[in-house]
Amino acid sequence: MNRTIYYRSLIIACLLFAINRVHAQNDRQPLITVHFKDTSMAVILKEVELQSGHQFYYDTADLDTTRLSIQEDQQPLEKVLGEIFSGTDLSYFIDRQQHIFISKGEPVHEGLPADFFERTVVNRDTARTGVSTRDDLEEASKPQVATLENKLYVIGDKSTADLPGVINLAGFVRDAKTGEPVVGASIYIDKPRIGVASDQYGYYSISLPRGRHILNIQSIGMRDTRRLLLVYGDGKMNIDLQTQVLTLKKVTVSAEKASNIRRMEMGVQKIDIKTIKQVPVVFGEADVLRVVMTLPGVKTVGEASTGLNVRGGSADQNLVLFNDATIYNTAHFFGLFSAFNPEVVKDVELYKSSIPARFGGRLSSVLDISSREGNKKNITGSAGIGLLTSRLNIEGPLVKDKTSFILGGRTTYANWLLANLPDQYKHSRASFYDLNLNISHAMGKKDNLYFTGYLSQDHFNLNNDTTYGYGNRNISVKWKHIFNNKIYSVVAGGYDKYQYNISSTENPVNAYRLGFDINQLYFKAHFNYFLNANHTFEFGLSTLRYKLHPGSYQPEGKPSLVAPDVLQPEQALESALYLSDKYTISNALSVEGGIRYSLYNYLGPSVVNNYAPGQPYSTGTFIDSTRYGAGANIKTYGKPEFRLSARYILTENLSIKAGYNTQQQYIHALSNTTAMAPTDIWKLSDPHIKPQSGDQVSLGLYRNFKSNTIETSVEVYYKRIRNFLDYSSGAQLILNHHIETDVLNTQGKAYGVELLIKKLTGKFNGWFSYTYSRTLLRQDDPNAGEIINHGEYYPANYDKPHDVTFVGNYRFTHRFSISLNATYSTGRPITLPIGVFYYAGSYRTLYADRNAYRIPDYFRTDLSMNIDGNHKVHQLTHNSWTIGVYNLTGRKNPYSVYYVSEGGAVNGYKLSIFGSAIPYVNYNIRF
Amino acid sequence: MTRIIRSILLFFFLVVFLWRCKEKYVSPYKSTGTGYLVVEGYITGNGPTQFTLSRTVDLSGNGVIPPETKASVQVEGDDNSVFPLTEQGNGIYVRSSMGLNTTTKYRLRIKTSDGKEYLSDAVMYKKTPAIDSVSWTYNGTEGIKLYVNTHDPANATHYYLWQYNETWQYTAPEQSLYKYLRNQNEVVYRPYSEQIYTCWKNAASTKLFLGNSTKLTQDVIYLQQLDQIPANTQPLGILFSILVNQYALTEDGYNFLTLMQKNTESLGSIFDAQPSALRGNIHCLTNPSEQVIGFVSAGTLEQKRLFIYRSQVPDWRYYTSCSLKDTLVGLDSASLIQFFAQQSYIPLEQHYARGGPPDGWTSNVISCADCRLQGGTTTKPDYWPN
Repeated sequence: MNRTIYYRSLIIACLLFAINRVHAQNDRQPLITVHFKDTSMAVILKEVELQSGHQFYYDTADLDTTRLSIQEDQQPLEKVLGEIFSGTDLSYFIDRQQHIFISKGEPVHEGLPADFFERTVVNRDTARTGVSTRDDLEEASKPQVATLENKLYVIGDKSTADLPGVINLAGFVRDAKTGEPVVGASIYIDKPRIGVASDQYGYYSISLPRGRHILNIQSIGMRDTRRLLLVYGDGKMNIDLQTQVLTLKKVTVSAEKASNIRRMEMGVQKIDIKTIKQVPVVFGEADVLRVVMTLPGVKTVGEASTGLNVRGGSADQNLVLFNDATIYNTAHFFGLFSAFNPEVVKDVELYKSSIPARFGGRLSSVLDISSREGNKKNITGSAGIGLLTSRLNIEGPLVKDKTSFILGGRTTYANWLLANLPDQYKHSRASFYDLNLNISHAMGKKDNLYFTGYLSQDHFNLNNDTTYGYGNRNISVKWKHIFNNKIYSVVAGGYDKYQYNISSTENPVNAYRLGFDINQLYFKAHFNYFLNANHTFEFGLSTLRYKLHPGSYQPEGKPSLVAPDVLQPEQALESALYLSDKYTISNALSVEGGIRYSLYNYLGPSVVNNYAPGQPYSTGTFIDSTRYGAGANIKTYGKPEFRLSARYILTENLSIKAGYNTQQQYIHALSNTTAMAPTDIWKLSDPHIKPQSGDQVSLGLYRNFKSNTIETSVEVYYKRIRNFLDYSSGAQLILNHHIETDVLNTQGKAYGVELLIKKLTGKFNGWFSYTYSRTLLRQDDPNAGEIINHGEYYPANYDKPHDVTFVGNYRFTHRFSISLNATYSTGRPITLPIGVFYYAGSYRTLYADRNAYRIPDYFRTDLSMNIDGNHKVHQLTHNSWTIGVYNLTGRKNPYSVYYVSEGGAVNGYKLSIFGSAIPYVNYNIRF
Repeated sequence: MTRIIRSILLFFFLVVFLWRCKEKYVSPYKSTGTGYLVVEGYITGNGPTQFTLSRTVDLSGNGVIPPETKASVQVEGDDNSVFPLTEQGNGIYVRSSMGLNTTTKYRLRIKTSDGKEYLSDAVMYKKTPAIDSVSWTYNGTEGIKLYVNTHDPANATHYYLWQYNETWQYTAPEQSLYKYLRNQNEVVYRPYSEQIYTCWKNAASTKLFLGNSTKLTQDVIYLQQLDQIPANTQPLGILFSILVNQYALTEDGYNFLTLMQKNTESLGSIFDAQPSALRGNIHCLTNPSEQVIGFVSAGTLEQKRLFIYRSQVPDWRYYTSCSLKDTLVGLDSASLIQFFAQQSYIPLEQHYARGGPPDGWTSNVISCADCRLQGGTTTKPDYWPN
């Protein structure tokens, strides 16, 4: 407010000065010589000022980006000025005191409008009363924004203005407050309709015809803005967006939020952390994976599992990336929590159909979790306290506006709680922690460096002497380099490790320690090339070296007689080359074609078993074994993978998309448990275990309603999976020296329809999804000794045909909102006994066909209330409460149904993980 | 205050985590495939060989397992020796002893009364090492844990199966020194041979106890747990005994029983393996696709017996008492009829009026004085110490 008054007074003072000292204009015009190339207008004007002896008055905001080339020799001032301002909307006025006033639009005139003094008085009065309503405060921050929005940015050299064709504009979109990149912002012009979205680094590159444009920038959660452009040639422009802290008056309804209509990809869902935090979850700990599970096409076997089953894929067919690092175990605390600290996560993107060519190595989906970059301006932080977990997060600049860090940690304090339990549970222990450190560094304008470190560890032991522990360790370094507006590269390298161990010392003779680990070292180089408005290429290569220790069994303690048993380590190299082109044929039709060639080498040293040809792998058909030396290439697999998609816009609110993609997977999790267990092992493809492959064809229809505030979509898909690994009956998966004899090759097919209705703005927001899907497996490998279910199709563990989910949030006031979450699904298949027999002193159950029955249907409702403290911007801490109830109806949703022989009799049980309503409370502070 | 917070947190934790809800479940589905032949037994040469034949039944069948009677069962060696078993009734076929040797493989042939023929794979006759000891530990909360220890100096056995038979002595809460003769309507001395105060109860193992030493440098089984006697319960009221049978298995036989164990005994936790189909080594020759439950193994049998006296566990507190107080029943014949003939009371001892002649019978309900009603027999086993 005060500043505005100051500026206005200044302008008024200047004008009065000009009016009071009226002189005749000087007859003698100085001649001016200027030679500038692509120079800012301010510099040129300075030179003109010097040579002419005139004084310039202008608002720097009007011309600070204007760059031009000018060649004038001994020309009169007016001609030079005319040349400088031609092609801009600037005009000038020279008064008699040799003052030159440069203004936008209409030139400055001598004399005042009739109501001039009245208006000034009114303004002064407002200033004096100093009313500080919130609207006034908003008003106060406006002039700056208004200046930027109304300022004309001249880009390029105007001498090229008459050339035909388009130019390219690129830059970063950032959060004005924290300096973090804004991902997925829409940047578009209306006439002609051209739009792009900022990528994961906040980078955008748009091709525009030469001339004047209004560039609109929109992003969810940020205030919409625009830039006035006058483009002559290629240029750069960084855009800072203001966070939409409080919108008291309006909901901006905008055309370009229709990104789901215009977007090329299908089957992509993105959720930002704000939405994630609204969804009620058990214990109130915002959980990235639980929210992903509410999306259509994503299922899980039960509440104690964070394993995702995407469009009929198994849990190991998802590539979970956390800033490029592969996370092998995404669960904490028996699967009740996910491994990602919500304070560090920025957003989550799930690709379940059109998987970009830059990703590969898993059949079903890519879950790309990106972390925040940290505040580049101030040190800030947040902390949360829940019933079982606490978290702390600090972020801030290391070098202001250049380098920032974010450090987050979480831990549990359930141990002391367990110590208070009745005797029989007293010796139980369960704990986890995770740590995140991200550093991002801007090296000049063209280079950015990102460092990510992630560490997680779980320990548990439920009242016996067997202790389980597992953890992820990841380090990655990423370098983004912008060559020019059209091309940039991202080079990343890193190391991922997942390990678990089990130890027991209860029986000194049998005391052991079992260990397993996966190590991978990777390097990726990715290039993005915006050729022109019609073509965007992406290409690159990646290589990944695996080293697995599939099991080591070691004695623990002196009296132990355990014979060390160490499975030979496995090593392999997985490499890929890819190229894709996004081709915009017309405004309505665009296609994207990608090809990825993946090459896999299983490497020595290794001893590979040989079996009688044409016979099932078994100890009976074993012939001999072949020894390979270190580095020997034992087996090579390779295959091109295709990623095709097309989009056609039927009307402004309606589009149709289709896609086809193929995938290869060279690393497999082996599990005979329903939920992903911490003791699941991973196995590399080898001469006996072929890579899994899959392909998917999908078709989708997208329609938006009510000015794009409601998005709806219907997608159908059909998918085939080949060489999926299943276990044989009674398989021994741990410490098996010939695992190929205990696994089976299975073929799978999955198909389904997914319906989504989504409203992400307004007081009431959320989504509703319905999925009908089937996942069927068939084991008809003639080389297998055993045929499951007579070689017919049987439903996979996670085959839940009907799934209805509603996630909603209603904001009563800015400080109080209620979230409701309801989900219904068909019960998952289980293997139930077909009969009873008597053996070894007990009645026992007899099983036959796998997954022939289903557990009862699942239904759950969760409710949470989010209460924010006051919203004053300037205060030490901001706090909020989350109070909620998980499983509001207290329904005993079965996790499993099983029969067990106890005391000689067979009893059937239904097990629910959460058999009642679970209240929770969480306190969060931000500082 | 801290206490209250702690209790609230504890409550949450219990509700949420440890008290996962477990309810009885009755399958709404009708199970189909039943009536498969079930074969249980172990071919042994140094003791009685016993095979039990029965059939699988429907899941909802009330636990009545039909025995397979009138079958012909024989053990065949690959040296062409044949040892027929004789039917003992109730689907049990036995042969007291057979001259078997470890260089021969044996198999089992069954012809059922419905004309079907079954044959097992020929299996090795394994020599089972002797049991080193049967040991136990005691602690006040868990009671007694029983263990078996063994080793094979030849390092050749590796896979073991144990079964046990427990026997314990116990008494009724009250001792009846007299008995009532209904026909005569009179009370007489109870001879010792008709005592119903001290009984012996038997319990066979109802679980599969399997062990292997394949992960060890020596073929040693140390402290393999068998049964657990809950603290302060009847089995150690006086004297407890366990007879452990030890059988050597082949790897396949072991895997079969392990899968049966996984399928039927250890399901229910979140990370357990899913049940899967059980395939043994017995095949139906008449109809090869017919499933047969069972795995025939062969080997010598090793046994060991252990006694535990109550005096060895001084703080074992087990008392038997009667819920009803003793009743005095008059000597007149009407009282005798009313109590002993009609209301199932039993005379315990003679009651004397203060300083005077007998005025009645101290009595109580039969269940308080007849130990047999608790499942035991009054026959003292011949191996029982005095």
